[in-house]
Amino acid sequence: MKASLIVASHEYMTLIRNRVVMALAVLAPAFIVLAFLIPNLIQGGGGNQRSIAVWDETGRYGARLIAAAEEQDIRETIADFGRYARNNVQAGFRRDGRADLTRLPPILRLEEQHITDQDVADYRKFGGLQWLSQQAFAFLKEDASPFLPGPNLTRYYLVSNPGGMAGDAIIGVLRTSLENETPLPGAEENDAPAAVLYIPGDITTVPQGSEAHLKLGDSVTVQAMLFSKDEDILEQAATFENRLYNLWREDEIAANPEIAAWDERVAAQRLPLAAEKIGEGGNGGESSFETLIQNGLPFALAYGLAIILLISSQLLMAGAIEEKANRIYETLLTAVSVRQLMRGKLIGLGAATLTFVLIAAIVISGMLTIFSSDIIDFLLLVLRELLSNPFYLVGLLVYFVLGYGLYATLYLSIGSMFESSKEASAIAAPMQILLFASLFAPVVYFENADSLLAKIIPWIPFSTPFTMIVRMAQNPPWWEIAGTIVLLIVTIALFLRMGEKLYRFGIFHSGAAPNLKTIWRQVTGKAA
Amino acid sequence: MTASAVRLTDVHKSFGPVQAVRGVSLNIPAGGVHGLLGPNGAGKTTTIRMILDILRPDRGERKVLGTADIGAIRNRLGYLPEERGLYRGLTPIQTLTYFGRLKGMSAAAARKTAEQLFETYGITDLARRRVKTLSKGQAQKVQILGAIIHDPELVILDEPFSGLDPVNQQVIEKLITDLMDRGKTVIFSTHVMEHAERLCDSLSLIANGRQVFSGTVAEAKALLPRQIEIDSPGDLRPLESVNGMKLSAAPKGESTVWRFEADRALDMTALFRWFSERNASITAFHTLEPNLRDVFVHIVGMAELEDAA
Repeated sequence: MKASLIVASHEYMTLIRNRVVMALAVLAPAFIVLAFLIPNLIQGGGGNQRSIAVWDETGRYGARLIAAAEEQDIRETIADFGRYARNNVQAGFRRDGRADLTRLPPILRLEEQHITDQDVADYRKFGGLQWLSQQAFAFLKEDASPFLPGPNLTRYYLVSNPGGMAGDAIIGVLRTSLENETPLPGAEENDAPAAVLYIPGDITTVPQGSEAHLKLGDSVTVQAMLFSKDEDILEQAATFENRLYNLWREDEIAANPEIAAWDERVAAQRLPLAAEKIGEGGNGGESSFETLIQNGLPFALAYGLAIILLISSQLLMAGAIEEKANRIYETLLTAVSVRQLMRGKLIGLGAATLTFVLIAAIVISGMLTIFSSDIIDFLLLVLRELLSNPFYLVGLLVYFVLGYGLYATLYLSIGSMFESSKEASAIAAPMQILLFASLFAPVVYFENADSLLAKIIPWIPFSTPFTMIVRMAQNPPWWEIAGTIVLLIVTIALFLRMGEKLYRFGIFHSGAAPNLKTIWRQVTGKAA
Repeated sequence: MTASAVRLTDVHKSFGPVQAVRGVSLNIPAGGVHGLLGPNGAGKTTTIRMILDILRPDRGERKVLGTADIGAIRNRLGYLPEERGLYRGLTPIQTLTYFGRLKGMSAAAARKTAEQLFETYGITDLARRRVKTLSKGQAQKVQILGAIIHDPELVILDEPFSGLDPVNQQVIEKLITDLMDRGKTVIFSTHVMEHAERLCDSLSLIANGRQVFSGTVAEAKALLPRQIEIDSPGDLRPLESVNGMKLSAAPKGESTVWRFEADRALDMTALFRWFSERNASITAFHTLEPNLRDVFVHIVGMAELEDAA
């Protein structure tokens, strides 16, 4: 093992000292960030308009709920612009010492908690977002960053029952409309809403288990429901519930003042508003982290792994090709065995890859925080939530390492057989197709988790790391995790054995570049 | 009895249909310089690779420094491959430090030894230049130092003189004699017979994958008859009547030099008696030993004839 570690440290230091590789490690993520930010720049920070319909059977809450939601959106928009303006002033101060926050228009000086009803009224009175933008740009001038905060563009509208429908029939209609993305029946608005908040006629919003619930009894269990395909909107279920509860409480206090004395902790308890994801079965009521983990993050990690594999495998292959072309192998093999050499290279490059990942993470985080202070909160949230779920984190790391081991062994073995990248590309190209094809595995899985293909995919070693990184967020059975890990380890051991054969063959192979048939014969031991 | 540094017994190695080595047996004593000679493609490099365990023989036995477990004694072996190679982006000092560490030295010890070697062989100025900026000869010297940085007991140099100018060849010769003086065993393969003749205590000759000779330089030369040159104005053709003498060249033009092949068993007394009895006039008499090149050509030629038959 000592010899492998010496090889590993040599490989690691060689890569880390390589100025071109190091420059790429810094610049590539920077370009990726810019590639994501430029469309944002062109759009001026705007987002897509979306609408939420409120189907209110009570006739009491809908309009008030919409007014409260719109007011909250305005408050958030004002606060975002204020934060944007203050950050830019401070950036200007860092640059040339010009910072005078007192000269900012009053509305842009406000923290969210200090925005009053009057500020909201001013916003509406003077033209909303356009007025706010003018206020900011007029002051900032050359200090204005083009990366405007994205205003909350959600539009709310009321929908009334077109007649006669009740209970399950209404819910059926709502689900169908959202599923098919068609306008709601009887709605004056002619667009397909992104979500529908359904408030039944006999609604109560008292959280189960709360003090209020204990006083009022079990009869008060009818829930409002939020339907959407959009996870972001479903994450707002708690907000809607709070608003609904506050409205209900206002009404109830008016009728029964005693309620005001009931447990104030009610709002902090688990909220009963049901959220239902349309299209993939209901998984309502989940926390934002669960939503994050189950959707974006695992996919991001799987694709991140693929990108890292692609880069590191290219580096491995380039290193192997250099050693073959420079005839260094023979010298090395008088000091270490083929196995030690391969193991050392895999460890060394793996460590270098992790270093580059760390550099990329720092560069990306740094750049994003320059452009938006909200990003740091988001990154901290992701980090905190990942750390709070050590099982997922360990699983992630295990599949990441095994995925690297699997592909790196293959690429290293192939690289040892060629003296130039051009020669190697004939074999490396199908390998990359395999890698990209494996990347679609998680997508296939999510298209239909019950299909035969979806059941097979986690057990195909090439796609296992990517699929299981996504699957881990779904709490798969333990035997699936254990089985796929064992399968990967066995496959890697097998590849290492085959790799040794190819390595030995490749080192002393001269003349025409070996083709797939030659390689196969070496692997299977059927070489003439 | 002298211990063996390398003992190969009936070693075979094939690559597909090509039989690269066919039953080579070597017994190279510890200490001294051994030459491994043979034409291109004879199987020298394959034999060397099997000695070093870079390749495994298909059959036959190997013992190196007294053990068949060659992997266990890697750190006691030094090797300069025929196909030279260094990391182009590293400096010689980094390269030698890495090679030294791979051979079991600490980084500090490897670096210190590398500095000393650069100084001893007069290439200190190269130590911190990138390998890619070195000439072929300079890189080759660096690589040879890489083969000996860990002070190995057995050093194997595959074509160490290839591609070097006479000055650099002298440096390598000095390095080999230094190793020999320090009691190391050196095996080197070469096409340059003058080097083998000058440096080797013993030789092995391989042709077409077979070992066709093994012994000392003197024993190799004894395989061919010696030449006798006689400068005489008279007619020496009758000298062929002496047992073991055969005319190989009569004088031409104004020359009076006769050349004979003389058997190793030739009785020189009988030869001089022949001159005395005939009162023959002789102005010069030289016996010439065959050089290693002639022996090489002769043995390889014979081996090819045997294989053809």
